[in-house]
Amino acid sequence: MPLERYEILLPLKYNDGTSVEPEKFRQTKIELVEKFGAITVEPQSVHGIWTHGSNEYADELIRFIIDIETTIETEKFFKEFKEKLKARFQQIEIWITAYPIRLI
Amino acid sequence: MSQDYVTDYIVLILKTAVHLPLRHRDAENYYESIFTADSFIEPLTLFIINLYSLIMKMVRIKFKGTENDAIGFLELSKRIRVVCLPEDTYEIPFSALKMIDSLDIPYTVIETEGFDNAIRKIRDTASAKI
Repeated sequence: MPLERYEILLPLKYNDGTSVEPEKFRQTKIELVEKFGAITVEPQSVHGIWTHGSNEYADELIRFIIDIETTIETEKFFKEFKEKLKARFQQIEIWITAYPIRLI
Repeated sequence: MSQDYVTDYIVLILKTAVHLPLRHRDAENYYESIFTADSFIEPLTLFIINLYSLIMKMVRIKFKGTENDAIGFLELSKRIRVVCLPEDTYEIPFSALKMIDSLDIPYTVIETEGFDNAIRKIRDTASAKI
């Protein structure tokens, strides 16, 4: 079965500059670990600047990484999970990417 | 396998065994007392072992309480690569314990293990069924 790596970028701050509550990251972590058994969180923060309309937003982000078998169910889960994260972190968009990986 | 290598390996096992029931700070003091006082291994060997521990050895921890877990998880995530496991446990490099100590977030060391085991945990994720 082919494998995919899913990466989720989550913001450390809301768009008004206030910090996201630690409990929201914990809740996200719990849901992913319950689903997939284990996840990895990357060490370095990822910084990004993006625009929406005429507004410019600066993000400080952390990266959740999940390696999992490629299935239709996985794709469906992450599409639904993305909507949940958008509401939880009060974001217009949450960046979730997936790409194939190969274990040596 | 050379004799030096065997000695290194035995000492590493001893360190790991001693560490299990102790909190990090206690364990560190204990290592220092037994290894430096008895001087049964040469300083260079000890240096190599400590270097090995810093680079390769992983430790599994659990924060004390839900609130500490939320804060601890986030603080770890901002600083180091963390493997998140069930029951709010985390696998992190042994060297990261000092960083958690400096943040003054209470935690318990559950066990220490080798780097290979940590890699296996990540790979096991791939076999999880949805």
